[in-house]
Amino acid sequence: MSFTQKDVIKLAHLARLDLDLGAITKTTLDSTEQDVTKQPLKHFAANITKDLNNILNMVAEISEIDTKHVEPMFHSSAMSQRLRNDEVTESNVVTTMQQIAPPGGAKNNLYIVPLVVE
Amino acid sequence: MLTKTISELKQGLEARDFSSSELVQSCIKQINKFNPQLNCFITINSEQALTQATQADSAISLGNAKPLTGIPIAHKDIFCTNGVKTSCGSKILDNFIAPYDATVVTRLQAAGAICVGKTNMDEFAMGSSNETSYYGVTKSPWDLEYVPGGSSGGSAAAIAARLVPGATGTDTGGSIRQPAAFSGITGLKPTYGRVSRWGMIAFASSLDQGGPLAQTAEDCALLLQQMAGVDPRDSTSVAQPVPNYSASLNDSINGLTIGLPEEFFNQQLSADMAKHLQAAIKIFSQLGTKVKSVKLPHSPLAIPAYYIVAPAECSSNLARYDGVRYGYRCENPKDLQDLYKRSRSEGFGTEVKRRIMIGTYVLSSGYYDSYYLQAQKIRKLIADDFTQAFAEVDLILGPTTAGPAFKIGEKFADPISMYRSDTYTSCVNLAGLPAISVPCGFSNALPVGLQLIGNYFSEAKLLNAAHKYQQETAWHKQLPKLVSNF
Repeated sequence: MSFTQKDVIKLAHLARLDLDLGAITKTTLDSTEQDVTKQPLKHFAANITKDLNNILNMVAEISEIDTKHVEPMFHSSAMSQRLRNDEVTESNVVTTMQQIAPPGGAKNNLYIVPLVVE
Repeated sequence: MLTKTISELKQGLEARDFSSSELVQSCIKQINKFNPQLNCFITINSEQALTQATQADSAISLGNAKPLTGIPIAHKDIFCTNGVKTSCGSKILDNFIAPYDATVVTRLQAAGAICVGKTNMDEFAMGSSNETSYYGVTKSPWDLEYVPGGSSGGSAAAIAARLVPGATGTDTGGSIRQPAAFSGITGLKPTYGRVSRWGMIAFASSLDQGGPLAQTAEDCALLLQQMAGVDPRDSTSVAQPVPNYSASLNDSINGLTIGLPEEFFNQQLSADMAKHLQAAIKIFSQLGTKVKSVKLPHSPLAIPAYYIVAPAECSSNLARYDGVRYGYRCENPKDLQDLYKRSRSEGFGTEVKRRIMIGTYVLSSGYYDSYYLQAQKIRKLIADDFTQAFAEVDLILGPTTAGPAFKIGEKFADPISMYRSDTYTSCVNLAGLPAISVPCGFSNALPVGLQLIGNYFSEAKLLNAAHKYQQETAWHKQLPKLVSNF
């Protein structure tokens, strides 16, 4: 399997990402210094197909291993979910959580988002 | 004062050689002096720390000191700290003031430790160099052109520069051990489930584990003692009794068998690293241990398996960052899709996006079986290799990394090269085992570390062996030139 640009655009949509946008690193380094870790967004978007294909090629070697009789290990500890008594132990945190909402994003214990249904 | 270990500082505080207020003031002064160069800290907590130091002095004078009373520490900025910015090294949480304390934070605070600040890290713990942080790269105190390692690079650099004597970190694929090795300090990744993940921002939930970084194994024991233990709020934490880690530090290791995996001692190791490991094996033999070759035949598959499992879990965990309830929200979203896409795209850095996309792919219909399911089966094979090895040996010894730290920018443009930094560490996370990295020498004037891996919940044995090694060596006492003029 090898990604095409069309695949990458679909993948980005599934992940709710727009490849041409991104967080420019907020550098606290000396402004005269070249920050070599800043990757221009155009470079990222231009190279993402190649990068993802390189990663796919790297991980592909696991497909060569016969695991027909191997059980998958999703977790390192063989535990099952601990149950507890059916008692209320947490307090109402609505007000606290509303205070950390994005600016303009919360009101009257509700979260404000763009109109969903006309 | 600041070059002392936690153990020495505890004695000094008890003997009234200095006060916690003096200690914390010195700490903050050094942080303010060196942080502009090193960029170890995202947030410095001066006011709160100094208030707590005054309270600590009062407790000490009344004879009410707890195990870590008055000791300054730092928390990796992945741990929620109530009322204090918790960014996870990301723009998407740049405005996030945590509304509660992580269990690790609560427990260390209850033991009297004083948080002086939140340390820089790779964004969402995704990285091996501390170069992916929204707040800029952290520089190695050993050489400012080099990385301190990642993702707990801020914590590691802060300890190497003796800005704090101890700090917390997290390890998903090597992110405590690798920066510990690159920075010439000691770092321990506990058994999965040993330390609560409540309040620890999730990257890959079946791999993430919080742990201590410090100058010595003795100090790591002091920190882990307070961090470890089951937590009703973390259903993946294990109800295993917490032993007294300090009590067994000086036990003899005579008769212990140490396994040397064939796959770890290969061409990939630098000549210096191979030489230092052989010297370390000799010291362990002099301490009475036996060495034996073991096989971990599936360990070379750890990197491909890890870079399927971790991105898969991260794509799920990071779906919560949608601009709705907290964190960064884009301006003037035109509809819900736009809100999600622009908030996430403007908020996340490139490495995070790369991993989210790989994770989305390997979990998708049609590809789940061949990638994600297959990777979890490989994981079982890797874990079984370790189980077989531990039937024959008590501990496993190997390199933490193939060589010393690399230059800033050297691997940043090549993700695969960066991912391969986790060669010796990620197999441990996949299996859920504990491991410790301790300094074992220098290569090109930069520190290198060896790794001891133990069976499940054998942290006491790991710390014991590491402590005995550190009693015979002085690598962990070396100071970067930047710092040796204190």
